Amino acid sequence: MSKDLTPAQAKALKKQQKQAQRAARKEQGGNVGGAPQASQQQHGSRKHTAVGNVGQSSAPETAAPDRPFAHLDQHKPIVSAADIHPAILNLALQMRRCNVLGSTQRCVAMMEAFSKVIEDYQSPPGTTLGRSLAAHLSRQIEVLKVGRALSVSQGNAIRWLKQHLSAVLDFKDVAAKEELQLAIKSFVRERLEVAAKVIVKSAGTHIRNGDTVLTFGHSSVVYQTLAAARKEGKEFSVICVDTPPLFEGKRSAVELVELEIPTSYILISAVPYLLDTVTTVMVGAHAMVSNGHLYSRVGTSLVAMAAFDRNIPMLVLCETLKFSERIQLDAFSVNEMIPGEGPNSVFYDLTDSKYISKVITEVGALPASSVPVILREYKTQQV
Amino acid sequence: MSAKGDINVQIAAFTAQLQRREISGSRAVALATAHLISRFVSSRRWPTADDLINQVKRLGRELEKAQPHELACGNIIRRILKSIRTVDETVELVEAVDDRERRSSMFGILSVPGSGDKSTDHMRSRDLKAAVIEDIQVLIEEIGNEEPLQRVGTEMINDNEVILTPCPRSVTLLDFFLKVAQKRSFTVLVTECYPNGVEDAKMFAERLTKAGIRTEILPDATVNAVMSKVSKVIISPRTVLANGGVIASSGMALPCLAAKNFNKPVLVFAGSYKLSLLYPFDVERLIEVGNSGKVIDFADADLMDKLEVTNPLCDYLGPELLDIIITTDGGHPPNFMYRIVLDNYSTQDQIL
Repeated sequence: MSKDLTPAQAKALKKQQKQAQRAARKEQGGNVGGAPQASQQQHGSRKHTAVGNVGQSSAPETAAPDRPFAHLDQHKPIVSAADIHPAILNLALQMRRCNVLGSTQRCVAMMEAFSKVIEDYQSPPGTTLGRSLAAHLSRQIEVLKVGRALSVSQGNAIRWLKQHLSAVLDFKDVAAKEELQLAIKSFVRERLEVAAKVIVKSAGTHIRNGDTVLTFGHSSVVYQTLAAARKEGKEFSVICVDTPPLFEGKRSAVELVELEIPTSYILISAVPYLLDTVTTVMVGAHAMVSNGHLYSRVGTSLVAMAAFDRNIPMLVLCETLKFSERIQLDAFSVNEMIPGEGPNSVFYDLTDSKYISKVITEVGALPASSVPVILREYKTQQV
Repeated sequence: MSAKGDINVQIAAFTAQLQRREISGSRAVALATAHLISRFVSSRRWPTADDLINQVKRLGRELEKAQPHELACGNIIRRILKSIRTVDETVELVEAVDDRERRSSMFGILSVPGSGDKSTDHMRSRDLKAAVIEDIQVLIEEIGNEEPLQRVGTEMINDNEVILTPCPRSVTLLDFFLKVAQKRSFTVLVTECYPNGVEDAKMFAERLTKAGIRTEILPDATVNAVMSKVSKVIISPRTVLANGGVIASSGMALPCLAAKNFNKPVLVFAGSYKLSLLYPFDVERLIEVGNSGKVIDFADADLMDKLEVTNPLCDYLGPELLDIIITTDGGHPPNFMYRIVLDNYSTQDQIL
C-alpha cells in the first residue's frame, strides 16, 4: 500500500500521525492524576475519530441551515389503535386539519373528548377506574399529540385532570365517572368560560366611543369583548388584520360584521398604512411564557412592534390557563410547522414583553413581567 | 413637419402607457422618459434655453398628471432641466470668455465685425441642443448601468450571510444578488409580499436558486420570528425622498422596523433616477392604493359589501428605519440625502 503513495501523500500521512500522537500526549499531560493511561489513550483516539466525524456530519447540517425552521418536527401520520376512543381520533384529525384551531377551542374540544372517553371507559377486571384510567388517558393523549403538539392550555388542563384522578382513587367506577365528568365540566366553565367573562368586563373599559380597535387573527375573548362593548351601545370600529395561510382574521371579520360593527379588513403588510387611525390593539394569546413574552400566532409580534413604535397601547387578553412555566427567548426553540404548508410556515412567534402594555386575565390586569407571580400563586394554592 | 407630428404621437402613446400602467417599474419608466425627452429636444424648435425649459416643463406636467405615483418620470425631467440650465450657463460663460478674447487679441482686428445676432443665436441653440442631448445620453447610460451600485454593495456583503429582502419585484436587487453570488456565498430570504407580490417572489426565488444562491420564500408574518438569524435587510424602494425616507412597495415597512428593533442594518439600493426632490409632508398622497379584490376575493361579494377592505401598494419608510442608501455614486447616510438631491436637481424645478 505504502508503495502506491506519492511523496507528498506520504508526507501528509506522516504529519497526520504525528498530530494524532501529539494530541494524545497533550490529553495525557492535561489530565494529571486522572484515569489510567490505557483509558487516556482510548480517549485520545476517540477524540481523533470524533474530529473525523465532525467533517462528515457537518455535511448534512450545511444542507439545510438556510431553512430557518428546518429543525422542527415534521407531522407524522395519525395512527389509531384498538383502545383509542373515536372522539380522540376525530379531534386529532380535526386539529391536524386546522378545523379545530385556537388554544381555547382546542382545550374545550379536548376536555369534551376526555369526558366521552371517561364515559365509555370500562376498567379491566381486577382493578378500578381510578387506578387504571391514567394509563388509558395517556394513550389517548399520545394520539392527540401526533395530531398536533399540545397547546399550553391543553397541557395545563391535562396536568389538572391527572391530579384530579387521585381524588377518585377509592370511588366505585360509576361514581368516579360521574365525579370526573362533573369536574371536567366545572373546570372548563371556571377556567375558560367564567374567566373569559371577567376578562371581557375588564377589557371592555378600554373601548370608548370613537375608538378604532385593531385585532390580529382570531381570538374568542377579543370577539366577546368587542361584542359586549357593542351591546352596551358603544360606537367604535375595528380593523381585522389577517395573514395567510390560515386566514383566521377573516373569521373575526365575518363575526364582527354580523354584529354590525364597522369593520376594516387588511393583511398584515398594510398595518403600517392604517396604524395611525388605531387607538388600541387587542389580541388573544396562545400562551404567556414565564419570562413575560407572549407566544402567539405568527405575526402578532410584528403588529405589537408596529403599535409600540407609534405609542399605541397593546392589550393581551389571556386566561390564566394559558400561562406557561416555560421560559422562551425566541421562536426557534419551541414552534410548530403548519401542516400542509411550505417549509417556512410556522404557527407561532414570540412577542417581546416590552411591546405589551398590559395582560388582562381573570385574576386582574398586570404587566407582562408579572406572569411568574400568577404562576407562583397558583402553585401555592394547589399545594 | 413630420418630426413634430411624430414626437406628439410618441408623447401621446407614452402618456397612455403610463396611465394604463403598461409601463411600470422605476427603471423602465426612467429610461423611457429619458429617450422621449431626448427625441423631444431634438425635434422641437426652441430659440433659447428658457423656451426649451418651459417646453420640457410643460411636457413634465403632462406626464406627472398621467401617473402621479410614478415619481421616476418627474425625477428624470428635473434631471434634464438641471442639465439644460447648467449647459446654458457654461455656453454663456464660454461666449463671454470668447468675446473678451476676441476683443483683446490680434484676431479681433482681422475678424469680420458684427456677424449678425440671429446667427449666433442659432449657433447657440445648436450648441445647446448638442450638449443637452449628449447629457441625456450620459443619463441614459447611467440608468442602464448599475455596476457602480453593485460594486459598492458587494463590499458590504460577507460570506455566509443571511440576507432578508422584502421586495421580490426589484430588477436592481435581482441583478445585484446574481452579481454578488459570483464572489460570495450567502442565503437570501425573500418575503412573500402577499397578496401583491406572491408570483414575483416565486420567480425571484427561482432565478436566484438557478444561479446557485440558497433562497427561501418566507411568509410575511414570519419576519419577526426569523429576524435574529438575519444579518442584513436589503431593499430597493420606488423613490428616495429628500429627507432620506423612501416610498417602497407594500410589505417593506414591517421587515425594516423589525430589523431596526433587532439592530440589523437596512441597506437601500436606489439608482439615482429614484432620487426625488419631494419631502414627505403628505405621506397619504404618495401612497398608491390598489385592487382590494386581491385581499378578499370578489366572489365573496356579500362580505366584501359589508367590509372596508384596503390594499395599499406602497409603504412609507422614514429615514430612521434605514442605515445606508446606496446610489450610483456610492453609499450615503439617509440624513445626508437632501444634499445629494440638491446636487442632482435645481430647486427652481420643484414644481414643474
